[in-house]
Amino acid sequence: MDPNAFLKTRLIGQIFQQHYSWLCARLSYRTGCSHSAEDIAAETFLKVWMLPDPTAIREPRALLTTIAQRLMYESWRRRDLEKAYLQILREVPEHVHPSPQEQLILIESLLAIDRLLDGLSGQAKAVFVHSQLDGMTYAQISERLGLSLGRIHQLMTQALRACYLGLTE
Amino acid sequence: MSKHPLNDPVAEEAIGWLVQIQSGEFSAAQQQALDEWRGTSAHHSQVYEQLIAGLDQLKASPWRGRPSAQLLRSLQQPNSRRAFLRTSLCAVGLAAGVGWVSRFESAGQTYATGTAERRTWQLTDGSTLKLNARSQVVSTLAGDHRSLELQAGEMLVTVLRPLQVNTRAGRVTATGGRLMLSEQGDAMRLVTLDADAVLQFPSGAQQRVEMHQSTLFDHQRILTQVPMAATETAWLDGWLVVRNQTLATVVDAIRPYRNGIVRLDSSVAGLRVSGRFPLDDSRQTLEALEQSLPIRVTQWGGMLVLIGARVG
Repeated sequence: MDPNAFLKTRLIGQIFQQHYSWLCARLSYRTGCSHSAEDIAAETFLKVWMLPDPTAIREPRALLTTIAQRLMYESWRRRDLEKAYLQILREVPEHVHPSPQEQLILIESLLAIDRLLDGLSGQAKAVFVHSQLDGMTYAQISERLGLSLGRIHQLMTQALRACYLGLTE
Repeated sequence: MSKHPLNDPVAEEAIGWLVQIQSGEFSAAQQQALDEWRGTSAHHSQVYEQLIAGLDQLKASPWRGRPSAQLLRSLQQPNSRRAFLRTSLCAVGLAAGVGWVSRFESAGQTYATGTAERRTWQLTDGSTLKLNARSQVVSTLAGDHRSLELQAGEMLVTVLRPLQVNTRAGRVTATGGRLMLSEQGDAMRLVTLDADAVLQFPSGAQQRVEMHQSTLFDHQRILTQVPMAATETAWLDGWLVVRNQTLATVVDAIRPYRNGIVRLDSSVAGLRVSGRFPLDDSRQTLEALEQSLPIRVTQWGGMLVLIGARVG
């Protein structure tokens, strides 16, 4: 192992030893479940491991809390989306269901799209999805949604701003 | 936030162009004007490329070509973060209350082991209870009738008088001999070492299980049943013996013997493993696994172990 990797391993090992129990306790208080708390704690440490320069960490607990909160939020949102999608699948005949493998990939992508379009109105999301994934023209979208062309331009602008912010985050 | 213009006016302009292009009506003259705009500065072309690349990534989504109504309905699912917090806190409160009541009613005796601990107890009626690491059993005596409840982990009981063992998947009754029960993910495994047993499901349905069987069941039915292997009790002597089992099974058996986290990457969880491993020396077990499988084991301060695919 090269010396840098060795130092990094030791440093993260230290942070882990000092704060792991604290983080688990804190998370299980928030989630009400020690099992998912452990999962989130493990994910949190993985994210810390992937930071370019862990030696720059000054306030480990503040950093761990921030990362863990984001992960917790995402895991909740994932649960919402997964539930919504599976509910929709229940309404269509089983022979047109994607395979379980495909379903996983679709839910993963659903989460990514949701994150990208977070904060937009339902209409703006609809305009964006029809344009980008269905390849519809604005004229077609305006007919489908019963909105004026000017409104479609506005909503598309909002959606692209959200994308831009997501890309440059 | 998206209703207000961005701080970067160039980004605003780029978005203006993109809105035009995507409209479905974009003329050659407009294309030329766009090309000129992109040539204004390096920043102009960079912002524009970035946006296009982002959209291309989105267009590669597996949702493309699938009913977008399904996607949109899913996206419209409200965020349940607050609701979840509320209900989960309630659930904890409720569980705590129920726990108190049931303890009060049954006044059972709890037997539990910690990490890396195996223990044997002699119960008052002469039966013997052995627990694997991180296991918990509650024993109650009502009149002459003893019942055990396996709440976590793995147990072996030597039955002298009729005994019932409750698990979250179903109830096992036996009149004598040795029984082993363990949690296996969402299911339970019953090994009838030298006892016949009756398995009763929450629905009330019953099924006889003969001696020398290894039976996997959930709360509805028997999932698999095979003749037991002599190696299933190896944990009593501190060994894990597996033949053609998944790495996930092996790691699950090691977990109760380690503090901290063992994280197994799903890409290697299905690898097949055969061998004999010492439970009390999980470090050696992990080393042996790393030598025999295409995996990489990374340990941090003994508290976090990551098992992933070996690269290169």
